[in-house]
Amino acid sequence: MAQTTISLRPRQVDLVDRVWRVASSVRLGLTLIGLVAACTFIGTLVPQASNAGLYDAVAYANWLDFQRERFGVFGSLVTLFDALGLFNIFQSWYFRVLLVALAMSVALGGILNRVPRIWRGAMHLPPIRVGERLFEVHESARHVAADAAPAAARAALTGALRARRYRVVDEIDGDRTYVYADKHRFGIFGTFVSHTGLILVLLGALVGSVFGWRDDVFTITDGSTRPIGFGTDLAVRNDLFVDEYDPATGQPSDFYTDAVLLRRAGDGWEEIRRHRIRVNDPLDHNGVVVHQAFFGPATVLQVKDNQGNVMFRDGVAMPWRNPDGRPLGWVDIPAGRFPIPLSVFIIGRVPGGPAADPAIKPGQVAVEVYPAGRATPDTLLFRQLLDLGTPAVLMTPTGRPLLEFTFERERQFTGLNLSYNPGLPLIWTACVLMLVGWSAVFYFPHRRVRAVVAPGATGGSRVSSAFISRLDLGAHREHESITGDVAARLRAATLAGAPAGISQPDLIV
Amino acid sequence: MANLATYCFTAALITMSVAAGCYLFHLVSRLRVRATQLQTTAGTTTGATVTVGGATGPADSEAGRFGGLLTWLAFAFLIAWLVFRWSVTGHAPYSNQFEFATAFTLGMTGVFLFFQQRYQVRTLGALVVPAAVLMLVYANSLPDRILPLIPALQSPLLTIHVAMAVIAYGTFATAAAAAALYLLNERGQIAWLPKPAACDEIAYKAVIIGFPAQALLLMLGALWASIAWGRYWGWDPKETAALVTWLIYAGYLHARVLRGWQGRGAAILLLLGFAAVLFTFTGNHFLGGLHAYGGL
Repeated sequence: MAQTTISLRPRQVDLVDRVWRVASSVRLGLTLIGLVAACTFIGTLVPQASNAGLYDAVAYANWLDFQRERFGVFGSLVTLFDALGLFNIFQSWYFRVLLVALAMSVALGGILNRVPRIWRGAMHLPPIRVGERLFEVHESARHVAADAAPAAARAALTGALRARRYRVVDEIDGDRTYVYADKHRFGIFGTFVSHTGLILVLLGALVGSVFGWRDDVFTITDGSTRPIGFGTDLAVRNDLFVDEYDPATGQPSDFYTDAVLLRRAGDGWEEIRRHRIRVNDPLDHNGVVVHQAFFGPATVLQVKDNQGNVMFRDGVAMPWRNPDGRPLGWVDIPAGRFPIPLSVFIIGRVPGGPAADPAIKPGQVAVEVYPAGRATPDTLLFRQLLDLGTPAVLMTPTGRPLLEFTFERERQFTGLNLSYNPGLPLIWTACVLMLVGWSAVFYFPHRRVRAVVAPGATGGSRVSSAFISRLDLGAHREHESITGDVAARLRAATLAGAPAGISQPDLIV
Repeated sequence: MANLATYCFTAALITMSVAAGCYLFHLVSRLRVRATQLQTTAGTTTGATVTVGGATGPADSEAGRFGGLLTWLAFAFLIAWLVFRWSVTGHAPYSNQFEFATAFTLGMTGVFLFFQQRYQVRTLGALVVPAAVLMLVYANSLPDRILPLIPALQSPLLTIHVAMAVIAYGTFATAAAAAALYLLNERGQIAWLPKPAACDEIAYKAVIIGFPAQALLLMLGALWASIAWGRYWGWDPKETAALVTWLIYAGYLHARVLRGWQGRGAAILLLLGFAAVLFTFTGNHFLGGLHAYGGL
């Protein structure tokens, strides 16, 4: 059978090679770093809608109007910024593209492209013998002359190097000994570790965003239980919420929730564990974490139908504020005996003394009832001020009672954050990798020394050495230390072996 | 104890101010020495030489030595301020802008003294120490009331998270000073300034301390946010500003190996990086966000 071979034409090879060079270049990486930094800087300066906790398009539109007022004479820029996605830059498509490109650049340029060269540098021994002109012209060259024999000089040099944990390799050629010594040759591998960490961070963020979930407004009134949802069979019961204040300043000094984590058991719940949740002490159960976030007023409300059946009886947290600054909360009541589902809004009074809110007095709340999901001024079904303990009845136009609302008591609610993020282990692992990698690269630089031991011009021996890696102050001092040690060893060897009258060796030229 | 902390702060401010004057006088004296050298026989160098990685320059001066001693003294006063303030508040003194500005100065001074000791480059002090004085003056303008720690800050992570900022920002200040000296003497022709190679090395050595410290600041902040708020990263303005700072220094470390970016380009990045540090430090006055409590 005839064999066929497939070969790339030179132009194709050239194209692949060029694409690889660009994709793996430091210049591209630097450009991407700059672009990500620029986008991040813009996102720092320009208000971000994601930080405003907006939940729907109407809220976003109102927020944009607010920004137009803030921007003042530059209000027209708001439309441009919105079109460019600058108000949500961190969730924009182009920012995500940059992050993906950066990850690829890190993988290609930071790791794959450098593996062959760095592997060679660490694993392969360079030629030991070098031209001796190196020791005449190199800026770090040092010479030690001594009366000792070359063998003693060689021993002094290798001893000094090994004492500083250098790997020493020598090669004897006639009356000369060439030495190559290095240490920390594996330190540069730290760059692969740190760059891997960078990629892992992005991967961890992706895993978290795809498979994780969170709820930033999980409110539970004192004494109430609320299912967590998100496909879990868990619930949280608020046994007691406590807030304490500093008497001197009136600032909150502590606030916590005595919470009970529950698991669905038949029609009820079984207790899993109890925990006092504080801001920096969340409840963690198999990755589902409950954090203490905020707190506020709540209203215990009872709703009955016209048969006296209780449709709803629980605390309604009021974590929001209406435009008048009044605390606001709502609860959705499903259709049952009442034909349509309802949204029942509870509005508290403006915080402060009796004069703070003339419309809603202490011991009162306002209730507004709408069809569920259609809370607009023209769909209002019922609005009534409720006095504590006194029922108010929603009547039909013909005077037939429909629903009875009772404001039973004031309570507090605890505001919790719920989170589940399976990407976190990747994130923390990545952090450790980055720190370890950088430490290896920065603090264990590859140090290399070349030396030659030769007979001295007037007898004895001469040790010439040069530091051939980056000559910074640390390397300079290390080299000085090595040559000083060599001289000291030679001096000791000479004194130990020489009869009286022999001159002391030269130290360092 | 609170009064002792105040006295130490004031003493540090005064001592640092005098030290700054000494360093500036030292700079002037080096200029005069060089002028005198130019008037004498060509090639004659008076006084001992100081070697820094191969670079040499004229000798130290009395003013420089005195400035160094005073800076050490100011540093000791700042350490004492830290100890006294910590004992009064019961936590690391990083919970408001006044405390952090003072701690920032402590970091700046400590890092500068380390590099001055190692590299024997007093001229660096002519930039860093006046900057430290300005930071103390700024701190002095801020309210220094001792208030109870709000619940969100009641965590041991406050100490190490902000300590990383102190270290990182302090090293970046020294790196910026070295970068400025590099740019002033890029060709190495100004004999009374440190050689460009020495400046480049000092800057790099500072950044390889500051860059991991800045990363650790971000990581510990993420860890704390994850514990406190259930969200390790929320694109809060303080977080993003610190990230921009870190990215600039990441750019610097890459630029150093890139032809066309070595030397001048890298030095400019260091100045840009320190500008980002100052922006991050002061940004909460106008950017808001979750770090706005305590003015941090």
